[in-house]
Amino acid sequence: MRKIKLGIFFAITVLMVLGLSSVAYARVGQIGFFGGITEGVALPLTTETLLTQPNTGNAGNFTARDLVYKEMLWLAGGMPVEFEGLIDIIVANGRGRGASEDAGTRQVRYIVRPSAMTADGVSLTRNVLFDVNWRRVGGQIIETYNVASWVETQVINGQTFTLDFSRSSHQISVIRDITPGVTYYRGDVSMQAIFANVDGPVTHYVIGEIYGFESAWAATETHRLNGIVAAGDWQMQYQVVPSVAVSKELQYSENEPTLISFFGNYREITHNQSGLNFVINVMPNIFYGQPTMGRVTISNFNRFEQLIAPNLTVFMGHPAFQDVRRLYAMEIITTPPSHFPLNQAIHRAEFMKMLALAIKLPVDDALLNPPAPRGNRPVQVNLVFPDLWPNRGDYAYLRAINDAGIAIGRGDGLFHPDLPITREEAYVITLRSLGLSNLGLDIPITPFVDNYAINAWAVNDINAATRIGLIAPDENGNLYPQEFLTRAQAAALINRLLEYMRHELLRDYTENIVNFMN
Amino acid sequence: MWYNSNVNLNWGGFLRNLRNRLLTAVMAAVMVLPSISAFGDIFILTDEVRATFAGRTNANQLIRNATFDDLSFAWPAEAVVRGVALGAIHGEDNSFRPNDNVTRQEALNTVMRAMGQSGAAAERGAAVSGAFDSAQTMLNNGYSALAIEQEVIPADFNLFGQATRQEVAFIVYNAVIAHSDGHFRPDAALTYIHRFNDWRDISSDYLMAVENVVAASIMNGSDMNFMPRDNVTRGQMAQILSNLDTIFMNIHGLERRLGTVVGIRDAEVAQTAQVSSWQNIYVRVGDGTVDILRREAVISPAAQVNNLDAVVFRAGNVGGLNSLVDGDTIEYFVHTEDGTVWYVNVLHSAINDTTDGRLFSLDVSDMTISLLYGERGDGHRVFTMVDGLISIIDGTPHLLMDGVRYPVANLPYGQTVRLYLRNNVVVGVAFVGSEVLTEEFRGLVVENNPAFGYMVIIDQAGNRRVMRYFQNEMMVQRISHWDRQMQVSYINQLFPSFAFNPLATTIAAIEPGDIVFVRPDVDDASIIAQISAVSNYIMRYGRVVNIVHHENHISLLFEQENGQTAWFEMANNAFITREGRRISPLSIQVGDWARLLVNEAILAPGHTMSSIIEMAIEGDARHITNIVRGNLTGINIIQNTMSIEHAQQLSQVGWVNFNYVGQLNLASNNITYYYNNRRITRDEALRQFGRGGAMVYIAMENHFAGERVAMVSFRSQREERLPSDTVVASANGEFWLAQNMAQSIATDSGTIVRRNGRLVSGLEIMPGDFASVVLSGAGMAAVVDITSAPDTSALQIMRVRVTQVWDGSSFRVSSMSQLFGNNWVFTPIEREFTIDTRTIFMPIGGERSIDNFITYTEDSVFDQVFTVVTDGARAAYVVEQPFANRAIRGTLVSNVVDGQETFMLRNVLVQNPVTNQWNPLSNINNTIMVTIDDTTLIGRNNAIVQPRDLQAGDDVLIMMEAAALSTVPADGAAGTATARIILVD
Repeated sequence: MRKIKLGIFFAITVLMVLGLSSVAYARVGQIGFFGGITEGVALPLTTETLLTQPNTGNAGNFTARDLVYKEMLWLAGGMPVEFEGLIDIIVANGRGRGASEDAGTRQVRYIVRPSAMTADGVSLTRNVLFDVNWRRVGGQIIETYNVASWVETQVINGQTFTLDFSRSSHQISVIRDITPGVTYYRGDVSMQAIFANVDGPVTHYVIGEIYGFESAWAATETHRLNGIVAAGDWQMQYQVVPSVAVSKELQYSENEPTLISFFGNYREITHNQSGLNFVINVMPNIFYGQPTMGRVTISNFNRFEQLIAPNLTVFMGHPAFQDVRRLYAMEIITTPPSHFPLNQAIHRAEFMKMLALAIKLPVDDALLNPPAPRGNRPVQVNLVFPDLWPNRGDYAYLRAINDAGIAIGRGDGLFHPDLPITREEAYVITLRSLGLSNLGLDIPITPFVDNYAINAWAVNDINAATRIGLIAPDENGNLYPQEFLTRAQAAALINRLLEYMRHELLRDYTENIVNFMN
Repeated sequence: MWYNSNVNLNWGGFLRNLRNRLLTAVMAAVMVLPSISAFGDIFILTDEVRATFAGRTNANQLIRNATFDDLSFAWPAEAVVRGVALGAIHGEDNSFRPNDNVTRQEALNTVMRAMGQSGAAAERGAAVSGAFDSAQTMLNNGYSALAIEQEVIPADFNLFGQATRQEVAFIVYNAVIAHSDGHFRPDAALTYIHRFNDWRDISSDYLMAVENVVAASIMNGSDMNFMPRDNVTRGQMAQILSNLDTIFMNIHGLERRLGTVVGIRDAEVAQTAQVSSWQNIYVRVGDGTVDILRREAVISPAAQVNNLDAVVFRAGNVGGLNSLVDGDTIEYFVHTEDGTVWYVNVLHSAINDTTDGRLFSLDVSDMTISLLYGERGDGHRVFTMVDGLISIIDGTPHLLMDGVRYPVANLPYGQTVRLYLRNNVVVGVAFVGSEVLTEEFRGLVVENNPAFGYMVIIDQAGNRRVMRYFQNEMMVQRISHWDRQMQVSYINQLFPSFAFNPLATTIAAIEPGDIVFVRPDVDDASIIAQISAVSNYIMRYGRVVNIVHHENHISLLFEQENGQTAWFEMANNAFITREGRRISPLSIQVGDWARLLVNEAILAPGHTMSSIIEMAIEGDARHITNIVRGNLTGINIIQNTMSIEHAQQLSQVGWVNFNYVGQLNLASNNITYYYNNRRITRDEALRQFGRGGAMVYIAMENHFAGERVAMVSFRSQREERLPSDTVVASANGEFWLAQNMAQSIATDSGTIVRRNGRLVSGLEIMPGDFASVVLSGAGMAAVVDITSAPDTSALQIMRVRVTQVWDGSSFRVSSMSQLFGNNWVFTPIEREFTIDTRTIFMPIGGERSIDNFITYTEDSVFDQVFTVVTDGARAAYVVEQPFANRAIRGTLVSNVVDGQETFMLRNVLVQNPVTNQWNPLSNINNTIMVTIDDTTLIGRNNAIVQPRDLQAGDDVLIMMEAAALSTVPADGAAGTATARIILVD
């Protein structure tokens, strides 16, 4: 950036912080790496995100309290025994390298212990410490977990199995891809654990994959682990798929009294689900008759919070009323209802601000309140676009959208914040906020009859959005890419995006993996 | 008068807005609300401003006067507008008539106005004219009188008729002499006029005037002639005035400057009782300094509006200062003494240009980019970029190139890039690359026709290319979806390689929808020499709604998760699995949830084709686990549960497992609610049927995070449960049961139909189905639960005597008896059965490894008798148990769980081994306690199952040895039996 000569200026350095905050966002390993499940880590409620987040957990305990933990114990062979106890996940920040923080270390400790709910004759105590090394390349983070210390004892139907750490190893490596609205991750697990037992050693091999994502509206983590348990005279092969998912849902209800200043309001409910499926592919004959598959779940307590109840009587009866009401409740539409005529064109800046709020894109606080000029001294500014000036009220959001690569201005070098947004632009930036451009096809042919009207730069993302079901041809096969969107249509589109993040995206990481054993 | 609506409407809005603001801001302190736009030049707001020029109060009037509807883009337009702006030309109506000839009086008036005499002329005209003269006549009189007085024309100058060129030259010459020194020389030697062939036609009185105006380039001839006696058009007259330029400016104290508009900033100051609003146009002057041209509006409490503006001529249009645009290069006339701007002429708007060169370096602190040119890199140019091209992401600078931000450190240095320049400032960067060595293109296959040897490909530019090929003269490779992880090196293109190339294939393998790289033939670009393809498939998830089997393929109606249904075609030999194991297409059932690998090829805009490549079917992950009935009491919207009072589950024996309040999980997003045949919302259900009022039937489905509600159906009619029975006929959702063929049973959209675990519609009820039906009212089914009819006839159970064992592979028997019903049928034939590691061997004592099935050591099985369950010629179970030839029948009282050693039967019938009659065991307490152990064989649905698979209500046949049946004690206590074989039928 150009040097600043004089006057008050805007800090640009904050951008770095944005990236880091998204690092803290995704919590890989919230169910451990041992084939067990926890109840899942709830997404922070809106008020909590405004306060210092108790759950962001870069350092310190992962959660305010120990989580309920369930795991299938395999070492005794046959149908595994269900263990229920508690898990505590403790993160200790290590060092980062250099100001740009492109590499660093931290430590994660998993402590599993029995609880009051643990069944008789069954016990699991585990204290494992992972050294985590990470590096960042662009928007991707590579993390490798190496086990530093590991103490574990399992008691299964009275038999005791004690881990021999000197002969055991456990490693996990995860890649995280940070996109504007969603951080996706995939990891691989490889474990070899040798346990001493009165009948001789039992070796437990596990190899598997980790998939997950985290966004403001939903987060999930699913493991597909293939295990082999080898004792002296028998061996077993199984697959276990533990999965936890959290999503934030909205529930509207009307008030009972009539004489109340608002009709009703929404509640934001964090809805957790967690469970595991397992299948024993090879069951030794000595365990004849035992079941070869099963499911374990942890029932959850849903946390909730009231959302604001703005007076939206001017929209009542409009077909987009529900969409608009939801977005107002979530504070994604911030304009007063009187300045939000639903039948008028929505402008680029207005749509982008809504989108930034919808995906909870981190916004640079310093840009939200630009310093006022003092006396006659002019304000020195750094321009990203000639037509995008820092004293715009929505500048911080537009900058966040631009920095995240969601909207990069029109081809003429200008941002045109106050022109109506075309449908094509709206669809493309909505898709980009999901980070799923890779599902597109950049060859200028789409399933739309009015393909000719789609600009070349939009083809890939339009194809991706169609493929994932975000947009679809109308009954005549058209997209109308160059038409404008009304505010009502924009509200529906943003709602669709949120529903997509809550449901479709979540389902691809939970049911679509868990239900298909392979 | 016609005027430029654009300009005036803007003013209108501007002022209205301002007035509104004034009303609300009367008591406000100073408040600045700037909005800014600037083109690249970021210092424009901070560099010192040399001068600020405000518009003039009469500008609005001038803009209207200068707007003629017959002038746009006509050659004299600029001259006319300039003439108006500077006060020399008066418009009278909305047309200028540039091709009309000018009269002598008009010519004189115009020149006199240009000399600043309009005010004086008006005064003089009033003094010398009669009371009844028109305004125009009065003005004419004034100009004439002044002109004579100032010796611009002689007193006898004829002012009637049209002016000639030499007369205009004469008037201009004299007027300038009269008002400004040093421009014309009355003593000049006559040189310029001699250039004209017709100079002799010039009157001697006008020779000096013509000489001077030609010398000063105010008038020119054409084709070497001056044509002194030709007329002058109004347009030409305007141009002549325009050419006066410097003379004119001297007379008026004006200065002409050149510069570029680089920033426009709106600002507004609201003070007590006054609002002023202005627009500053920042002009970077040629010498590097900054001028501001200011358009301003001030509104006082009396709503008096004072507008300051200037006439702007831009691209043939007349407007105010707000018509200026970033990047305009302008000439503008300012009055330096009173700080006003009179006129702005846009010479040209931004100049767009491109340049290609090799990317050399980027200086983020200076916002410059430099390129190398020429082979030796001796040409080196540095360009300034607009700020938007660079942004800092995660602490590192990124350059926007081709619409994507790339880290500056990883840019393609040394490769050719194209810079898009606007007024020599870089506004865009595009990648060009290096030398192209192989001509290849990427595209999407939309048609492949091996029979005729052509393929249609849409390339990246969107062109539809028809490529021909000769199958035997091309290289083809294709990466299929299962080969994505394969590593095949391109090195075989560089050196001869004889290794197996798993990707090599034939052209017929390339499908519409594939993405291909094509290398055309060197000699004929329409022929494919090499093609490399990758499949472009996607996963679709959903539920099978209908299946139609054809001879060679299957049509599947598939409902995707978003509710969209579509028919898919699938070849009979497509890869289909259930729970990871390959199955035949015939095993697909309606209601199955599946993952389809689909090729969704786009054939043309608006035309796609979907075909299934693979299909993976779930196990019981979404099966209906339970059907519950009760009365709705409430819904917990926070914890997402539904409370049902008097809840009971459906089982074979009716409604069981009573709970006062049952809590059911509502986590699913697509629960359907019905009231009889009508779909209703959850809220309606809660409002109408909370606290009873209707019986509710709920289908619960499996889910990895716990069983949850799939479908909720309210019924208002009386319930009746029918015993399980076989469907004998069905049509359109109606069906008939064997035991009551006279009465049909209907289903509607609210009927819960579970068919082999899957939730389906009533249309899926088929003859032969074994259904348990719950009626709601006569002939209407609330619940239909279909299972396969119990059958164990295919189970082969036999008693064998072992004569020889080949360890771990097979054994021979000398004779065998096979169980048919409850009779053992003896066959004295030797047979051989194979065994493998999965064969279960259960001698008394519980050993289960077939390794111990040997004919040596003390455990020898030679000549021993076993009960064997066979699977064709393979022995699946080899069990040591006594000869069980007594049979009893009965009904299970309750479910059996793993590890349970006894269970109770009721309605017991015992077969008399002599008469073969079935007699009740007892008339007092017709029950019996059955003991089972590890060696008990349990058959159900033609398979050996575990004790946990025995359910209450099962009718069973039990085989045991004669001694295992105890007689019934006289006190009515239950009898006992030890079961060896249990068959559920």
